[in-house]
Amino acid sequence: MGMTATVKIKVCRFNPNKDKEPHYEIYEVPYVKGMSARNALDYIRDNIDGSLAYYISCRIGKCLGCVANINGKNGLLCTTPLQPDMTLEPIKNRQIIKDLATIPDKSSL
Amino acid sequence: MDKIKTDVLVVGSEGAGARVAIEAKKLGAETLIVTEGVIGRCGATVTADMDIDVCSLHAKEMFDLPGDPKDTPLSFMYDMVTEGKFMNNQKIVWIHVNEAGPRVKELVDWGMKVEGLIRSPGHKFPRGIISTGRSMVEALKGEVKRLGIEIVEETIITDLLTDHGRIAGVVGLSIRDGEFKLFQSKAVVLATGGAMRIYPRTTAPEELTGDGIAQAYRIGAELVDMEFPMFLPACIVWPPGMLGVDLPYISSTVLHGWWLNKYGERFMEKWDHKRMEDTTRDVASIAQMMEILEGRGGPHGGIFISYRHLSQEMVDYSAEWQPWWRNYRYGNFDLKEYGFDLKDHGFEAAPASHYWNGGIRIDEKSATNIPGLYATGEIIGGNMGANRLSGNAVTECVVWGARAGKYAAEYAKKTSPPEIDTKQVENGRKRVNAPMERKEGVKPAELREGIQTLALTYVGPVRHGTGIEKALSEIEQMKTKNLPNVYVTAKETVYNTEWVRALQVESMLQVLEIVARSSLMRKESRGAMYRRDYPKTDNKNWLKNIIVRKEGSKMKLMTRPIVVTKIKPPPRKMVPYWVPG
Repeated sequence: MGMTATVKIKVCRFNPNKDKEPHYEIYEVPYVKGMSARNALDYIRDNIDGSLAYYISCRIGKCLGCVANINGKNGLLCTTPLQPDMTLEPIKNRQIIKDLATIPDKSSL
Repeated sequence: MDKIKTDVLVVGSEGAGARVAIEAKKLGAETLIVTEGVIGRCGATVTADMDIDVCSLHAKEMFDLPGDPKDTPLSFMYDMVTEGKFMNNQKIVWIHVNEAGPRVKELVDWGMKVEGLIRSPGHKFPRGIISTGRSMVEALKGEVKRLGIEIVEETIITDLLTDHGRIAGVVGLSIRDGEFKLFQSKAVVLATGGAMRIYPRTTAPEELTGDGIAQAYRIGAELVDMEFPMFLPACIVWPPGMLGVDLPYISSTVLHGWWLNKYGERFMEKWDHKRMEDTTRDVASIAQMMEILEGRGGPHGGIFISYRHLSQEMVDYSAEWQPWWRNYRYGNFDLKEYGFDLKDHGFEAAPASHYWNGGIRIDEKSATNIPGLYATGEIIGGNMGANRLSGNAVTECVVWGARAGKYAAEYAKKTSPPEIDTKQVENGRKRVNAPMERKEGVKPAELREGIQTLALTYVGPVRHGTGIEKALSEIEQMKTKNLPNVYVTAKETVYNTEWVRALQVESMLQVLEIVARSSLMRKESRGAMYRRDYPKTDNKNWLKNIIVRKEGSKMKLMTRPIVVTKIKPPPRKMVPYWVPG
């Protein structure tokens, strides 16, 4: 893809089965204009750390399943453009399954 | 290990799956939904922006919309069967056209909003009830909750279990807790959608990897019309954040872009010089793919869509008056943020896998040839034939969802609980755990990409016998060398999506092989399948369906006569694949 530039992003990691509290990891990912935050997470999962957890289904802004806290605001991982020094955290006030994966309020469970 | 017992187990929770569960529960069957995602947050239904087909007469009588009373179920059926190029099972279609109205009306009763009625291409009358996928899934979800139907979310089913030939249950992996799960059920209904994800460019969500199709095939269910995956032309290939977004296609009806190859040629001239870019979507897909395959595409494997022939004001004005891309926002994407300025830069776009015409063969009860196994929604074959009319996929979910729910519940009532074969369960567990236990090998992402590249290059919108044979030999290599070595890099069991992908690649490869073999067998071009080496429609020899079934360890392909009841097939002779407009 001819990608030369990279960006660093900060991702909140938390496994309730192992960790006492959440911590942050910084990842360096290849960057081209027009990548989404979701693209960066896919890159990390497929190339750096396969255990990174997040929910993706439609990846075009319609299912609303990938809602997360992005730079302090709630947004969708799939439609938010990737930016340098982005911080990705789980959406607040939800039970965290792992990392950015949470149980939605309206879930049956 | 816990064993969960139920009467009717539904795999899938959206348009089709939720509708099955509602019907089965209302008929008194103990009903359980198992879904890979979260209800209302997964599946293809929610992605539809949507016209839902009903007979235009019913649109007038049942919905008080400006439907045309001249339309009849038979006329609706005629359009489906001619669009499906006579591959449709007409017994199935007749039920579909008659039950569409009442089933869609129920959705409205449950809260789905209706915004109007349109006539889409291919329909003689206005049959498309306008709503949104979101509105539909919320209505269904409300009804599922109201009835107290139990749901197991974020659980991927990996194998179907049998008891002396009849269905006995399913096994799978709970993504949330990383544990292997066993479900015993008298009846199982598959509502897991198509296999669009075998292609790298698709409008479909992540989980549509054909798992249900592959699992049903493995226990001997018959598949039909698997050579007809449908493509939507002009979906975005670049930038990566918007891969597969259908905006250039959708906008082509209101803002007429020119489709150009890398030499700047408006290549539709060669294909359909009258209609140009307004040609039908199958021809559009073939034309775009030919440019790409013959090296006249762009740097990211698409063709260019340019708006430079229009004034800047016109382009801006379009984004002003068109509500669905107002201020250059489409869905939740802000086009400007993604680097698009359509006055200067067009789209790089290509055909994307959009719908699965073929699938599991069903009868009028939505039953498969395996006792107790039902299938519904996009996963079924026979309803749409070789190509689907616009707006009919969502109708298919509710018509056949309700049917599958009814007959699965009736079957469960009169049948005794099946025995669980522990050997099958242990085999299922081994299969799930294998990629986790391997310490090295092939990454799921690597094999997934290999499968998708192969599918697009040789078994996509444009095929050729030599290419399909090449694909089959590479598939064989992947099956023997790569698939048995797929491994998960991180051994964390909770919410490991790489593990999920490792389980999906087997289904993807299996489905790709079935599509390739069916395509090689059909020596003609018809509907959604175009072969360069057989570019005509052969009504003399090929007015028949290809059925695929597993016998022992072998894949058996056979032909069966098409099922005709009301619409007479065309004369038995060779005809052009399409006539330029």
